Amino acid sequence: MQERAPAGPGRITVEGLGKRFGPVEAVRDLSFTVEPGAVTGFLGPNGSGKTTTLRMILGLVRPTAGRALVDGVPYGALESPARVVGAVLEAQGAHPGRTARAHLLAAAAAIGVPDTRVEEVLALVGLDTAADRAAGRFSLGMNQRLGLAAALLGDPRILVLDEPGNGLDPDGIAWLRSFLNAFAASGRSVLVSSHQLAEMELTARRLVVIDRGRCRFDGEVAELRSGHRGRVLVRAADPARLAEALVANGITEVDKIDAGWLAVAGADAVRVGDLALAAGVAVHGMTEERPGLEQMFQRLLAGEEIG
Amino acid sequence: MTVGAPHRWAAVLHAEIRRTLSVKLWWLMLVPVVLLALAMSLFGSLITLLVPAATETSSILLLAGMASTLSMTAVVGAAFGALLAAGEFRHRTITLAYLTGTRTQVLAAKVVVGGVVAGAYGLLVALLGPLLGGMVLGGQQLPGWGQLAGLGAVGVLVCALWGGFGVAVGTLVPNQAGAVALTVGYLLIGENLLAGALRSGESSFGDPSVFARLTSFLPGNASDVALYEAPVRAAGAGADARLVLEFLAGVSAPPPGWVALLVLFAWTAAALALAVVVGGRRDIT
Repeated sequence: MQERAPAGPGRITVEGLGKRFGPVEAVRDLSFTVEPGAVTGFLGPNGSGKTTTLRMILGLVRPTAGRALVDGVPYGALESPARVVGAVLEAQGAHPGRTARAHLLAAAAAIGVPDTRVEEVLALVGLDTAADRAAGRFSLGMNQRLGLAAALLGDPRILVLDEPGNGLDPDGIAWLRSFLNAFAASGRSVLVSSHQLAEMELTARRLVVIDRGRCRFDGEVAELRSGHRGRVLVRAADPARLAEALVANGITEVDKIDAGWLAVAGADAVRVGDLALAAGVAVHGMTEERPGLEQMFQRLLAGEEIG
Repeated sequence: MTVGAPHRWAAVLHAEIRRTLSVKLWWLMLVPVVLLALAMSLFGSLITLLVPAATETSSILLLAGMASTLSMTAVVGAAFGALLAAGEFRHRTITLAYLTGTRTQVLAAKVVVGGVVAGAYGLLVALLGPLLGGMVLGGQQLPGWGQLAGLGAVGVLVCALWGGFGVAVGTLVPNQAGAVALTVGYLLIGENLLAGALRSGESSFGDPSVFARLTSFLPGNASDVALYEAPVRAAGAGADARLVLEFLAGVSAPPPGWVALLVLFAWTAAALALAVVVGGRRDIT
């Protein structure tokens, strides 16, 4: 019997979520939302509670505090959960002796989608030619694709992925990025955990950053970026004179970083160039340095305030 | 615990059938079943060779051999059930199973599949046993079809219940090797030791103590009581029937076979209820 996905916006709401494993508090008072129409990156160092949080959202781990809701109800209360949320949580989640096709046919039966959907998702993830090979003979990247195929079987409106880029080659990562962006652009939701920060910078529009089980940031990437000012690196013939000119004009965050080079915060390249010209200092080179997600992430974890 | 709509239960069962048939486990476990049936016929042929008088009791021998083989087949069925459930944890496939169905639906589907496959093992022995036994015993007196069908039906039921019991153990003990070792070890060794302790100091004559009477209510012994009732009845041992059944099943004061089946059913139901609670609360990390 083919089932229809119940209507809903595709929103994940996490409210005061907590999980304690004996003496270890894995997640503490965590709250955030995942909205449709965007890829939300879920970042944090190893052991920060990302996987535990994702598993609590999907009803695999019982929270000791708070709750996680999918379209307003706990995952376990969804009548056809895999028609609402597709998830990839295991790097190798198929029986090693089972073929990719058999693995997906079993999942299709459980979800209630026709068998033809199996061929569609196999083609979608590029495993159609390997469909009759046992999953135990797959590479890590192929297993990731198989997991994604299983997650897509129910044509869900939410995708939850735990480190999906692991084991993928550069082509696979680029494919995954464009796939997730297209999925979100169709008005659906993606929550993806990753430690590949550079990749996440290209994929996610929103970020949830956690550390030691606590939320450190929840918002747009642009919002995070605006809280971390960039610098202008300038190489001058007379750095000392240029530094004096900058300070005299109220630009006080000037550091000497190398022979002939100054790092200037609080001004853009045009202003620094104009002041250098006015001071009669020859400029031999200048570049604007914007902090990458990795640097912002490191500053967040180091406890720097945003803004 | 979420019950879910009936079609969701059917969908999860359909998935479980596909999962089971797409790996080798179910037919690999047929190997020991066929070997057991062959061993039973070999044993019968040896008896008829060594003890000429046995030809007069060949029908009883065949029934007793079949009961014994079905008892061993039930152990294989229990091991299959344990592997079926614990294997999901070993291969991490439990995550997808729990994401596409509720935990109770997944457990119920495994009980059905475990019970059906283990019951099929019992059916195979019930069919193979008389065929092989008939070949060995030749034109000697064989049991009636009614007796064979009756024992076969009890055997299928016992094996099916043990298949379900195994699923409960495999859910409670997610370590696959541990679940199988616990199930098989208990049935082959543990329960005999337990029964021995309960019957220690008892004599074959006189009323057994309360502890000794408990031996019939252990799950493995209850199976044996149900299975050995047919050959003992066929032997027409009269007043000695109880003693013979006590010897064969290793119990004291055995209840009627149907009561023994109810006892096994109650054990299976209790194990599954525990599996629903423990499995339902377990964190899949």
